[in-house]
Amino acid sequence: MAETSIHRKSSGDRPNRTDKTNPPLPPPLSPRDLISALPDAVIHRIFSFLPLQDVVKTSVLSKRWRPTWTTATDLVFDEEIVARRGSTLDFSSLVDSVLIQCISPTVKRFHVIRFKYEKAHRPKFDLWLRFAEGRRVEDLSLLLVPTTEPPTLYILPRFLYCWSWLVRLKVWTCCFSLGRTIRWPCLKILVIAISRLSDDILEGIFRGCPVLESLKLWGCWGVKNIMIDSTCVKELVLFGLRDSNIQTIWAPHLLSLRISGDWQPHAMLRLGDVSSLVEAKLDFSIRVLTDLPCDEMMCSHMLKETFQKLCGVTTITIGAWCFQKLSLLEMEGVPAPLSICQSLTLHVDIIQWDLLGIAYMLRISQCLEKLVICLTGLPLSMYSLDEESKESFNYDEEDFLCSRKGNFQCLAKHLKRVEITIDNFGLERLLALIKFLLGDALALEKMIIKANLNMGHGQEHVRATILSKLLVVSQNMLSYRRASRNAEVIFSHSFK
Amino acid sequence: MATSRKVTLLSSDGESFEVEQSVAVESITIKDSIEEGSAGNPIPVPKVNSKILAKVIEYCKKHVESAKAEDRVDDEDLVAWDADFVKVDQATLFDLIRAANFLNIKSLLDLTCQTVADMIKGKTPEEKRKTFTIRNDFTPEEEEEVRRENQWAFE
Repeated sequence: MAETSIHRKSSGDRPNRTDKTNPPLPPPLSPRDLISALPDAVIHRIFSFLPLQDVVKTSVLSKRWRPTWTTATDLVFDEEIVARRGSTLDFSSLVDSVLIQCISPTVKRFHVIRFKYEKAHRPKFDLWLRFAEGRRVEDLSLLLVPTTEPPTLYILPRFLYCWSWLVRLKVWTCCFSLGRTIRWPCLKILVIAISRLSDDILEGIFRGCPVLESLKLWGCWGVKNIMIDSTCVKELVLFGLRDSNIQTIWAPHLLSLRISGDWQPHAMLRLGDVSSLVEAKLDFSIRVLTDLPCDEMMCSHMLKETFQKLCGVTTITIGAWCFQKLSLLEMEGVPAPLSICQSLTLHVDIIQWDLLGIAYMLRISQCLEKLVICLTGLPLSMYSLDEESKESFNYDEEDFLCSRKGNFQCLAKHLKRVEITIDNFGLERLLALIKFLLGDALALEKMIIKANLNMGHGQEHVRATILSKLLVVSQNMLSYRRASRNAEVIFSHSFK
Repeated sequence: MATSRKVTLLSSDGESFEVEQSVAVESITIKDSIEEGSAGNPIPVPKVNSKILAKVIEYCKKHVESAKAEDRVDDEDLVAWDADFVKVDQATLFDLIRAANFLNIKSLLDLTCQTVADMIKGKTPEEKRKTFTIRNDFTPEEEEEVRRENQWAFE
């Protein structure tokens, strides 16, 4: 022992660049040991990419490494650390023991992930948040998993509402208290899931977060109207679950809107002023519980109105359920205002009448430059038509498309890029469409077809069959007449 | 702002590299010194030798070019390019980390740190020591004590 300390003293005379927070590093013990020579700040950055147990394990590498993890700036506690071990160590004790040893003055990231929350945990969480407050945490995530039905929510402590350095906040299964003033002057990203909110609380959030840029609400209930006055908020994502019941969205400065998940039919989501919207993603569905035609009509009506509001949006993505409803509108001959959409992504199923929907979109998107079609490959059995409608959908795709030749202005002037993503068997269904697009799109530069082939276990022998089939089909495709001389057709496939 | 303006960077061993300003300002350190007007011409880059500086410039060039391209297909290509870029020996990798840290190039720092993290992840302490040539200077008793402190991590 004595020898090593003498050894250190003499080499301590070596000029060492030191910064105020780190004591001078002892010389690395091996000349090829480059990692130990890195400054602590860089090592902490490396740590931020590692799961917690790997970070803690570095303490045993050598004496230089023993204290390094205790000044780490990222603390991510994921319940699976405990789940994977058969040990009896429980998650709370683990967090406690790590927090006691953590001596860094600032912790940038503090995440507790997948913690099964029960009411008895409340004092523990309050204590942990006190710790986080003392270390000026900028990025806080409390991703708690409900254990009861209805879920017991963690009531956020009062001192959390005035963390002036908070930049990112994600809370699941938590509860905001009414009557508390929220002051998060640096908060940019806010995600709230499985929580109870109200219009007042939301208003308080917008008032107290002057630089908020992105808000995501997943499966929250209690909010009826979202009114966003602020010019900073650029992105809003709403994911419906259970009793999500939002009625109106008013956000004249919002740039990006996404509505997904499952909504109640009586939600009647209505878009108010969203005139600055540049990007919209509609991949939600409405679960119609009754067979009543008025419910169906309400859905169509709501969708039609929503879609009309989005006519000024340049990038639109439409999910499978919404797309099917729009296809219905085309069939009914509902006139639609023209859209200035430039980039359109559609998720479709391999059902026949999706071609109608695609035709509808091509017709109204006169400036379309980029079209992306993703075949979901799963027949949406939720959607059923009566016999009469089914009849009218019995048409020949080629005929249908031929009759539309020259009808679509976007094809004549604007469409430059088409991307089609399919799974194992979708290519044949789209051949007619591909042929049509190649033959009609005068400005086309690239058509990319990506096949993501799903192989189940033990199905390798099927691989060869599918591949050879694809090759035949793709060769046919490459021989189709192209209206645009510069059009490049790229075909790629990958196995999962 | 003339984007085709060029600046000259001088490595620690005296070699100069002429690059577009748009590429050079991927480094926040260089960007700041240009904006403050305190950068000479050529801009000296101490601590970074010519071999590493060349690689850093190659990285910045590639990323600036891809940001301009509209093709989304190139995203996957860029990831593959990055993966190839960091297939270097340890000494070069750590030099790149230091350079990215000094020059404050966040994406390069993240890329290289992620690479090192991948080399650490899931390994036992013995394996880690071997990979990085770390000499274990604990006595067996000390090592046992350290393991006991956070037993859960070593299970």
